[in-house]
Amino acid sequence: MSVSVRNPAPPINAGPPFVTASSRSRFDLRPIYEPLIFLLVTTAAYFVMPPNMQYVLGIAVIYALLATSLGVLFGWTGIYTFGHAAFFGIGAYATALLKEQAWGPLAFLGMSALIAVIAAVLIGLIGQRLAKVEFAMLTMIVGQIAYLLTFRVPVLQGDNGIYSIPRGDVFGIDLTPPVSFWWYSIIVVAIVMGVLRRIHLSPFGESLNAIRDDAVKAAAIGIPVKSLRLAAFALAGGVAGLAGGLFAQQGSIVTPSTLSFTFSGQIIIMALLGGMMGFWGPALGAILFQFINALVFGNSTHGTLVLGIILLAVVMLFPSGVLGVFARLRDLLMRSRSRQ
Amino acid sequence: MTLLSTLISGVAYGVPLFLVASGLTLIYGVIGVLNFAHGSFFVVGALLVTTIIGSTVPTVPTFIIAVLAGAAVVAAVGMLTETTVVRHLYRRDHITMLLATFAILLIVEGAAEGIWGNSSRAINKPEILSGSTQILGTTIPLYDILLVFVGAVVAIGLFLLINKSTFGRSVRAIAQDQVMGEAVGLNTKRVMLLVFGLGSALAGLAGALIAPNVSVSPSLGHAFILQSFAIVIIGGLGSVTGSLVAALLVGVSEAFAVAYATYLTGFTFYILVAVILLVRPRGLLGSAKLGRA
Repeated sequence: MSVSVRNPAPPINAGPPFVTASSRSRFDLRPIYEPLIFLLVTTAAYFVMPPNMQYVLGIAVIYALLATSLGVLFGWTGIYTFGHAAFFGIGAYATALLKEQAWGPLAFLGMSALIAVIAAVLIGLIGQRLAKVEFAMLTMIVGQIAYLLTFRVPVLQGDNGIYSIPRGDVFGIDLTPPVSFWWYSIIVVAIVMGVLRRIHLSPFGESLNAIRDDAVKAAAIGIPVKSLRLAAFALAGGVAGLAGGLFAQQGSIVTPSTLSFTFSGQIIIMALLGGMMGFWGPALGAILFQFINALVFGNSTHGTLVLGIILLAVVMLFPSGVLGVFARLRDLLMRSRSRQ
Repeated sequence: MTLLSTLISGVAYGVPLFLVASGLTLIYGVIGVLNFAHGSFFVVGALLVTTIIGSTVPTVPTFIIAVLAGAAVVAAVGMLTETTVVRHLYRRDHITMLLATFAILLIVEGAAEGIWGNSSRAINKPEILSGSTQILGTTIPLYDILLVFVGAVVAIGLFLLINKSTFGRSVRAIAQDQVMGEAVGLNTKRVMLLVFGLGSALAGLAGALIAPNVSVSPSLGHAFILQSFAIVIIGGLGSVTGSLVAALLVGVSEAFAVAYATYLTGFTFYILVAVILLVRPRGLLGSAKLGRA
């Protein structure tokens, strides 16, 4: 894809010279048809599956959104975070705490996202001056504080969690039956994925990639590195919070495990399994991970051990995930074809 | 609670934190690897001691042997990790290394759950060390005095090892410039392996020493690794002296929180971290050059 910096030199009072994407991507239809394909494929899969697998898929698409939000940080911007579950949990607890309100389910999701964004901005501001590794440590600490708070603050009910969170109804459709909730959640997920895809292809997204590849050079060509990093962190936090709200409505219960350190690790593993660099990698990885988990290790008592072995294998052998393996196979195929 | 007893219990609380954090920061400073698995090494040390001692009341020699055995086994686990995983990733980017050590954390913790189960265990202290003594009219538990003593010995030992010995000279050389160290004929591979082993041994020692004071379970590592991350951030990444100062600071402020402001218990770390991050992001004694990650 051709990328050009705005030329000629901007006048003195112009804003930062954002990298402008080529006109081809400005009218790109990918933010529309890709989520649509995602919706159709997952829904088709949903209706041919037995009920217990439908349940797994229902959670998997929410995790797909969560993993994509992590991809915004790891894959797009090069921000390493080990406490992403905190934002998911904040979103889930926001929906849970507001359950008495007579709002529609979409309003709950909006609130979840908003509260998570506020939390992300605060943490991002505190950590703004840190180097990458220190920031990773900070996110881990913040995640742990959020986890501890669920036990310290009486409203949050500790290990019992908060239950009987209503699903409510949207446009007069009751979301209590699993099928109508499936449509609700997959449409919400697909729309948010589309918005994220649009952002990914926008000049803003290109600037984030520039920061990931070389923050010093990005700053040198005038990209406001700090504020864009903060914006990416807020975006990722907000989407994770929304996914958390959806998760709370889906399960109708929220427990501290949604905030836990192990869950943060699981999100990373999901995203990594699919491949951090491509847009759809984390989502694919999340769905794959959920099914591997359900089918192979569902009854295993050694969950943590197996999780660690999977992660280690992926990191050491397939660092660019399933998408990377596909790309490598395609390259091999192309090469063998050109040889003939 | 008087001022003196609060102070001593704070220092005693800080010593295991110092041991874990100094190992972490040593490995980071020399090899450039932030070892997420460090907390799980710590737990293995604690669990090993609970197994060796069991439900008996150990004699002092048994206890010492158990603690040293814990540290030695953990050092072996660390060195195994270095040779099988970490060594092969030095040339890859930092995120790969972080994820790999995170995977090792999950593996070691999972293995510990498999071996020792999820229940928590408690062990007895040696009889001589379970009492307390009177100093200046206040009661001080003897075990706290032992911890303070061990902390002082390790701190001085580390200082001498790094600053006065031949091994320490090569460690410092490699920390400064690994390629140059290799060029002047240092066996960098071996030194890095030994540093990883030493750091792990410190984690194991900390776990072994703390075992009689807490209930030990495989998930003990989570809380502890986060606290030692907090200490490394406060003290400055890569500075052993910094982690000593930070551990004492954190230990003492936690003890004062327990004594005078109970609602802050468990949060003093995080408050200190937030203050440090706002005022001095590279830590108390951190050097600016450590932005290399």
